[in-house]
Amino acid sequence: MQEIFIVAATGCPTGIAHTFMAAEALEQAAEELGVRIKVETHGQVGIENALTAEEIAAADGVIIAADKDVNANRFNGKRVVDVEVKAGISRPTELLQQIIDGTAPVRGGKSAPVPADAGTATDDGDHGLFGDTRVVAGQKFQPRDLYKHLMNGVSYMLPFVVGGGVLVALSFLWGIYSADPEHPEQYNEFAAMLKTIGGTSMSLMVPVLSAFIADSIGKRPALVVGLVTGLLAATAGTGFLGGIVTGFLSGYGMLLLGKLLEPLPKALNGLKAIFIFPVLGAFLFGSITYLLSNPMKDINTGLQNFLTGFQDSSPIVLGLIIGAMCAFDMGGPVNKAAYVTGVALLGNGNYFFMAAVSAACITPPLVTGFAALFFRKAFDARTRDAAYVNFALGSTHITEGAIPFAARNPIVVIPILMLSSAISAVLTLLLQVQVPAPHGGFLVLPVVTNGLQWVLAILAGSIVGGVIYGAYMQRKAAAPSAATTPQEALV
Amino acid sequence: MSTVLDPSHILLDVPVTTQDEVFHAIAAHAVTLGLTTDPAVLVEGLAAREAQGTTGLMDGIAIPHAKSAAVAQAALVVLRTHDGVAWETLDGQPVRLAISLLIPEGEAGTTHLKLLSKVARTLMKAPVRAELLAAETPEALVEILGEHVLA
Repeated sequence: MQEIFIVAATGCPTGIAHTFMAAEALEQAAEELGVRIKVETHGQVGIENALTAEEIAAADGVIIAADKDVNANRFNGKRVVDVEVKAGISRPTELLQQIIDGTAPVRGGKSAPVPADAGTATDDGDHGLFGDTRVVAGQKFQPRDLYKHLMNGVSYMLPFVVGGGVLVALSFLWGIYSADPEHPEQYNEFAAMLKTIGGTSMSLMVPVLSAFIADSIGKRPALVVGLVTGLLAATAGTGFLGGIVTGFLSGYGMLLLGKLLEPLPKALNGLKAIFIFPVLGAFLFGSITYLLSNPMKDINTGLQNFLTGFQDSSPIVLGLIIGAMCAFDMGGPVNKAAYVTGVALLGNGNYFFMAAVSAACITPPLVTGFAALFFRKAFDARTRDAAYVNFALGSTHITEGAIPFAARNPIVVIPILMLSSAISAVLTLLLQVQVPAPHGGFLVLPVVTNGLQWVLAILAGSIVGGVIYGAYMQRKAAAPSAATTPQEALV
Repeated sequence: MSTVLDPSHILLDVPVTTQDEVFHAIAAHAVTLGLTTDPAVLVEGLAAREAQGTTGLMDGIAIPHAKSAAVAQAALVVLRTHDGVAWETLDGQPVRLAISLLIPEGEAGTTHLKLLSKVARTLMKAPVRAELLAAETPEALVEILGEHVLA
């Protein structure tokens, strides 16, 4: 099974507020849980975002959060959570979880058209040893899915990089050759051990990335093949890019293989999962990876040389790009693109790029902090507190802290943050800072080369941004307050 | 949304202590804004809706609303109380901010209703609620609502 898809209908007697709040709450909760949802609203203006028969048929379950009839009979035979509209607002996660866990009862008793008879009459694949291996047919392909699969891989990969990267970085505390017995003056057994552990964790980066991209696409059979091809690619030196290619190759390849093997008799289903898929899959996609390794390696080396060249020849341009990307959506896809490139280059031993990315990610929250510090009166007490907290968030590389501030006035604030991040990134590159750990903010300072310069670069960008943003907020606060005081408005 | 919501529609630090007083304050203000000529009927409408089920949300926000013949024009009236008012809410907290949606009887399927629905949706976002509770001027409140609803 691909992704959980839930349909919902909300409605309330007046149809102005609660209907839509429940819809919003369910959508927010669904996003948090990573499930897809479509919510039909029965409001005063009529039915909006209406569910189609196909969507209902395709859904894994239904949530009704309504105090009025929402034509529930069409959901007969599906797993349905039927509650009052208030429950949709106050505990949306719990309702969704009932569908995800499959604990919701089937509506209308009679098991009707599509769902309840899974595993018996219709062929929906195998539920044996290897779990659900069915290929999801009829699910529309969306470009957004590609991003989702990639991010699934990245999210599983990052802990390996962080754990490994920090351990390797720590080993350098004993000196850059601390793990090398050839350099007895620095050699330290403990450092060598740290470096071995860290290096092993780092070396899993590409296979894990590949495996979980594949897993996101084609579930368990694809995970196996994705891990194998990812390790093949990593060993062949194709780097991070190779892992992405093998992940998608394995994922979609296994989906295709599953489709091709569908005509096989049902009796062979068990064999499919434990024998045919792994053997055939590993052979097929392993071979492709094997043959693709050399060209992929060349591309990887080429890209690296390009970026490294860029870094040497025009650090200012590169810094501007990195800064602008990191602050553009703070934790969103554009930011992640820059970040993932930094992590990838880290794996290849380039610590300059990561230093610039980190600087650019640390800057935006600090900008808000400095703005509140310099322009106290431009912020109300609560906002000011949030801005001060951002000193801590920024210092630990949590760019997201700046989002609430940017969200208030994105058109003005985001360019300010982009400028600030760009300043930090450019200075970081110019000052030849090297950051060997992919996260942690100032916590990793002990292992940063040219750490002092790095801090200064970040402070420079943050303070410049803080002054601009603070001045903007002050002007904004000064403008309207002359109109009416609250007391005058009181009748 | 100039006619639906304007800084003049917003009352801050109102010294009310009961739900009934909140309704009366909203209705009285609706009279001065020219939104209604019959505050008593409007209060009845708000109370009747409340009786069907509470409009209290969480974090001290409630959205008392009424669809009533006494309403001349669709609008939002926002009232922030000086102290919390006892109200049945989802998290049991007293209400500090009442965002009241007033709808004329005849309205159906129009842009105003959609706008008000969007306000309700917006209130489900926790950061917005925090901003609304912290806003220091009517203008700021209008701006916050406007930004999120019109965006």
